[in-house]
Amino acid sequence: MTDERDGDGGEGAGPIHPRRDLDDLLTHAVRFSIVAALAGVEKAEFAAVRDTVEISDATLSKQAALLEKAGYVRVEKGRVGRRPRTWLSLSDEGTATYARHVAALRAIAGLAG
Amino acid sequence: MWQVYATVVGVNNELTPEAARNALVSAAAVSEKMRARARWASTKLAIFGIGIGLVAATVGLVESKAVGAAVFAGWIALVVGMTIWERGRLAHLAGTRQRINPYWIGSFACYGVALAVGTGELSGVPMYWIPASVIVALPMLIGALRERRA
Repeated sequence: MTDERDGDGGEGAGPIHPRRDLDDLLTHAVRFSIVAALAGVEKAEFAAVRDTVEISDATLSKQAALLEKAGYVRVEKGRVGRRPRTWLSLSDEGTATYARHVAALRAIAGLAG
Repeated sequence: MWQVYATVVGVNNELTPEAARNALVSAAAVSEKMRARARWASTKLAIFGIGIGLVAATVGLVESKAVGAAVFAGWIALVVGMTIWERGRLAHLAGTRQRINPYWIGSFACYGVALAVGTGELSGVPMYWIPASVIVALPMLIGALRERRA
């Protein structure tokens, strides 16, 4: 990726480096993995996300709260019988941001096109 | 899994092509792991497919009210059990219900036709009821196979 000419921050100077399409929130590995896990499904329960991403309850709670605050993830609490359930799903904005982030990663990796 | 992405970010905090590739591989793996967890509809269709096939065979081949009642009770138990099992699934693929409904309709339609044609002279005739049972089960079993790739 040597086609960038944005080092001096000049406007309209040429191709823009794909890193600019990376989402700040998703550059965090755990948050990226949480969103990647949710990207393939309609919704997933807290425990399923925790086990799939291989993180602790506390880490998932903290990162999911950040993603929810950013509008990327929806959190719904409910019950199945007596068991409390917390369902996580990607919002439309989260889906679009994830797609943009993945496209930027593909460009950086040289896989775009 | 996610640690790969975390540790391969290059110098100057710049994402290297290798780190980007690792991140993509990691994301694909996590996504597939979650999707595999969410593909439970395949199991549901397979169990109900076998169930409705057995019901069709029993209803057609066994002329006993007691057996008929037992089959009916067994079917109800299966429906209740599978409903409880389904409520325990922790991940859901988008559009599962819309995808699997045609297989349900297909199997029940075949069951209706099998009953309409088979009751009467063909009652208790294995040459009719065994293939009919397979045909009844087939839509759901095809759905189960297709849902494995959903």
